[in-house]
Amino acid sequence: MSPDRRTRTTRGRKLPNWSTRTFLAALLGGVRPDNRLLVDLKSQPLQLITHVFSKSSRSHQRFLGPLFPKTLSEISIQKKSPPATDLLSEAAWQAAALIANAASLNLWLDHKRAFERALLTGNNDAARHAVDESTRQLGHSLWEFDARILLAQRTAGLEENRRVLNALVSAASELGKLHLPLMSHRAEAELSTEEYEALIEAMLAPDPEASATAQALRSWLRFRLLPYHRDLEEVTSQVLNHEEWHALVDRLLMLWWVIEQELLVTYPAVPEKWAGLIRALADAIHCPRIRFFHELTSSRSLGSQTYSSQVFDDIDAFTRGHYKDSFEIAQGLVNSYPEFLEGYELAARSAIHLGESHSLALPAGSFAQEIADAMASVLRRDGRAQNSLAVLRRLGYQLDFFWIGGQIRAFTESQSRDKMPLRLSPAVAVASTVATPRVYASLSRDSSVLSQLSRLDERYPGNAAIDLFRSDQRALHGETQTCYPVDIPSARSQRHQAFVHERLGCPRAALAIYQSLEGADSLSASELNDISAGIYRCHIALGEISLATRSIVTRIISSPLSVAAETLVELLAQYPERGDHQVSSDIAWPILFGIAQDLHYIPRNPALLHDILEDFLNARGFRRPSELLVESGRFPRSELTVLLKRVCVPTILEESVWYDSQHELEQERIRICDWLSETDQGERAVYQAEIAELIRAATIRDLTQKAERARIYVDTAAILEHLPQAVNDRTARCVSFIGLQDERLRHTTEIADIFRRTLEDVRVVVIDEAFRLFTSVFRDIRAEFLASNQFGLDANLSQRIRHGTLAGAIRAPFEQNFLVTQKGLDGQYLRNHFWIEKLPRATEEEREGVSRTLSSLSQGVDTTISEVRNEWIQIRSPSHESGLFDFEYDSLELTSLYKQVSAYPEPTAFLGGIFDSLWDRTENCLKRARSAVQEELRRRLFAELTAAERQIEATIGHERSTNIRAAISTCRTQTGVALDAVAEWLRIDEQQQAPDCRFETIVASIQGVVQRCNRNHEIHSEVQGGDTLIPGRYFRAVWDVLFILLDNAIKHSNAATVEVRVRVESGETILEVESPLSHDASPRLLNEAVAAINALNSTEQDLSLSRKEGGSGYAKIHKILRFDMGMKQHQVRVSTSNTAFTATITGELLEV
Amino acid sequence: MHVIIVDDDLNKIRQLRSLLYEELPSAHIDERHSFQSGLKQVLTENPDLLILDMTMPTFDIDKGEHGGRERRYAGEEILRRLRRRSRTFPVIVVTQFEQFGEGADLVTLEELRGRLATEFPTLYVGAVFYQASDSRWQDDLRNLLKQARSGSLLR
Repeated sequence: MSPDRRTRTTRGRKLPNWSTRTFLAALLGGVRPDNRLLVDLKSQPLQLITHVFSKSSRSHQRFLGPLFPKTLSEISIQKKSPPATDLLSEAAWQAAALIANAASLNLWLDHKRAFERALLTGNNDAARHAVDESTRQLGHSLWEFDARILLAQRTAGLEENRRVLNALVSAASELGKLHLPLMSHRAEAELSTEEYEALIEAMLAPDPEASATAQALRSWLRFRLLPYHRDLEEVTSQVLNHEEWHALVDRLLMLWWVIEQELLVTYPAVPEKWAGLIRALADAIHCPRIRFFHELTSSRSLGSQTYSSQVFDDIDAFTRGHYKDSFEIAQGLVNSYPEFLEGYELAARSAIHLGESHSLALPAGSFAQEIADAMASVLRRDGRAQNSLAVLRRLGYQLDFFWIGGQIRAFTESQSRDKMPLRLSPAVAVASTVATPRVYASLSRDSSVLSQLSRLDERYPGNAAIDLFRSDQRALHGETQTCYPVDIPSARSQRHQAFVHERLGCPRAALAIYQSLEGADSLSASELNDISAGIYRCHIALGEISLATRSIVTRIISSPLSVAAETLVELLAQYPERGDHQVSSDIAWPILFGIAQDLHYIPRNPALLHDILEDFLNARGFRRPSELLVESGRFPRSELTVLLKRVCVPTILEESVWYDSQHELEQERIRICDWLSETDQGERAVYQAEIAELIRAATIRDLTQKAERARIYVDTAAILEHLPQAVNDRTARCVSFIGLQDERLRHTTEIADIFRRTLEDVRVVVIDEAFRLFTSVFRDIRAEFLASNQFGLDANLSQRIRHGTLAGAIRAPFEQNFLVTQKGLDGQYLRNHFWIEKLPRATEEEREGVSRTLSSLSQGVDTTISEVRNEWIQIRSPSHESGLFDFEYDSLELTSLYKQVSAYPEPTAFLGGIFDSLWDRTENCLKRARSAVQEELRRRLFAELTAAERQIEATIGHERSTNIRAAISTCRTQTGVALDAVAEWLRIDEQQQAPDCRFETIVASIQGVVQRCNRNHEIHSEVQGGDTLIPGRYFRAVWDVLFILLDNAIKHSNAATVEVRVRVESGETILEVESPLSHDASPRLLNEAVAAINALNSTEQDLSLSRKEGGSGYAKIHKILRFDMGMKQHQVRVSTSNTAFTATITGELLEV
Repeated sequence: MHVIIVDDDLNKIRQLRSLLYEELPSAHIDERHSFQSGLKQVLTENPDLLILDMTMPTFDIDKGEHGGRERRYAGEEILRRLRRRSRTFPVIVVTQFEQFGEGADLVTLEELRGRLATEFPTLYVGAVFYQASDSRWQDDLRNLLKQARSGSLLR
């Protein structure tokens, strides 16, 4: 019987031995097995497949693809076996290939470990050597690509990253080119996880028309590139089978990730076949992850005994409260095994007990140090914790192909939950390297945990952690007189007992223990957090919402991140939908809703937050938050401070009915900021800056002469403030890419329509990454500028121009003169009774004629208005081809803008350049629109009036038409005035950009602000050149510069009188601020300061200082002059005489 | 009977007043021109009927006041606040827009009608599309006034 026939009849059943022999004979004889035979073989037991491979070690490579590719172009070639009928069979097939080549893989694992240890600890040369050796001995792989690109990024930043990428891409296969740029992006230091995920999601957007093969390719890419979103549901045999395009080492990595997902779903009831597969792999391959999985499923330890026993020593010391020992052991663990996370976490947890001075000694700037610092910050819940969590999330991507990558990801994911103290989330447990008591207790709830702990006890006798968790398990499984170890801190043992009570459904008993621990001195901040979380859970379980709320608000005020997202969201859901007098009177609720929105735990919703605030104020008998200040003693100071600081802000208060104007609202916020700057002294500068900003906004408004004149504005400041983080990140990356000197390094590859093409027909396109990012940022900004519902131009045109007022304004003169009527139910214009009745001597035919003419006039006017509204005052687009607001940029314009903004070295100025271009375009469009209103619209309306006038005169004669013709004349005049008014609407609203104003006015208003911020000083200004007119576009910049100079004068020299001069000489504007020197000023320090300030210039390095707080503010002045005011040449000089300090700014200001 | 019109278009208010005087001759009609002043008066005075625009500035616009943020769904927000305070007088929306928002956020007047009816069954009577050049809105408004009366919503 031929193999072919045999496979047809035995599909799905175990092949008898003779068939294997036949199969082997065919292979050894050089026969290429057909796909059906391979699929049948894949359904056989692992041992049999392994046997086949081991007997035909050379020939099986023919259908397994290149296991150790010698050239880059061999990667991702489409040569592989057909996928198995199910995932387990495909996994077994892959495992057999791995086992058959175990020796080579074990060699690679040594190189991998050497690489990881070296790169994590900043030894880049050793890391490079490890990759080189691996490549020399075992060929190329995706792992190698990842390693080389990340190494390049760490060694010399983005430039080197791109250089290595270019070298790899030039030699890679077409499909290899798909993966490489994404690896490069993942390695970038500035690419946030959100931006990276958006990039991948955009590329892998679902396509219902894609073939099954293409779908599998998409799933494979998602699984590989988005580790935070790995999902076993998405992994089919076809997906796993795709890995055959790559080197054997890549298949091991893929199988590790697949098994991890399998365990997450099935543990502890792992199917025997999967457990067998793990066992076979663990026996042959020294992979720490696989061996850990084996330990979980079999309780047999094959991993590093040294590492495991050190970890157990450490958890023993930690459990006993010997934190110094625990920290030292952890330091040793991280020194010897930087590739695993356990040491970092134990060090961070011990350090919390030992004080902040304890931190791991690790090479500065290394990945290891970054991990240790971020983890310590997150566990301490300090002020950097949120940022540290973002750092760890990014590292979870960058280090995905490291052993530690999955552990970091699991750790970051677990931080959003605090419902399982003393237990790990399953993801963290599965990602571990050592099966500790906590890992077992976390993964399983049945009594099997006890037997696993007993086995551990045999291996590590007397270990306090094992004893502690065993006590928990005994108590949980009915042992009423459980004894807890006595040689551990009693607070720790009590926390365990409290948690056991919680799990046994006895919250009252648990609460009693937690409350007894609340004041314990020996507890660290993080343990106190755990206890507070426990108190909260018990109150909730007992239905004591009010007490639960109090426990949360106390905790969250001291450390906002100490309360996990899901806990806070769960509590907020308890708030009564329409408020409740008793519940709402607790100041905690608006604080908690405010913090939850700030931390993005719930969607930002100012109206909802205002509701909660209003409920609280009503329940307490107040209307405005400032009324709370009078009775501030009724509330805990810290809580009132947080409420006023975070919740009582203008965006929330504008929902209130108790402010009749923007001015009242601003005065309210200023009152609040005044109180806060006295109460919350540490943040005084922040509150004062806010007061200054509020006064500046009010000043601009006061300076505006006609509130109703201009109606066009786009709130670019608000757009910038609300710009999605992804756009900000993309902008930062764009600026970095533009900074790459060698243009070739900006190149990247893109594969168009990959999922629409057959895999043999892939075309790679080379594009400029910097320009691609720029166009993407430009489109995003333009979309926001035009289409933002809240702040954009189209919304503004819609609401302030196209809205009925346009029709009302144009139609008004016609209505006032009774020349137009409205349409009736039949869609016809109603008869114009006003004029018809004024024609007593006219015949019916004449009346009909006049009526027809006026109806026609009505129709003409309304049609014209409709065209203006629906066609002209529109953003030009395919549906509005006559739109006067044309924001399309052709490629030349786009390239020109790109060159222009490329000069800006930092993202804010870069975005400012794009906004400037959009404003210029807006100005041009408005000019066209004004011209259209004043010329074309006027011509059309006048033509309608003239036609009506002639027609009426022809119908009823000159004399009898006198009155109606007079009305038409009046209407013509009024229409002219109305159109001029409408044209004036089509100007940029000067409230957003101040009108031109006298220099003296600006100085006077700034003086008020500076005075307010420095209440103990009297300040007077003497202004020379006060009549100089400052163009509105420079208002903000001049304000900022003067504010810095005047504030400096007060703060650094205690000046009481400041002289401010402005003049224009030879086309240059010269601004001088002179203040008397303080009596006690040190000449030496003063000279040093003068030299330092004068040494500053507009270089990129100096400009970077402008983003830093503190200092004299002169770097900011340089930035303002160069970018905000667009001065190409400017000078900032300071000098001293015996009595005065003078700052002089010279530069060419347009239009002054 | 006390009627409040909350709308920022003075021309439209003039026409609304004219029609309301015809239909409700004894009515005392107040007007407010912004989200804030409208909501404040409505909450304070509990009118018998509210005629509500959908898009308005936050504050009244006058010589020294710019009006604050323009609110596309000011009317809907007022309805939400009334519902939260358990108010139940009839509300008729009179808008000059046939659609609101753009792109994915676009809501047609028909969709808005459905949304308001579902969200505010105890307040919302109906929505009228107002056009200065067309008198059909007048009949639509008359019908809604009748509906409010027959449903005993109008006291």
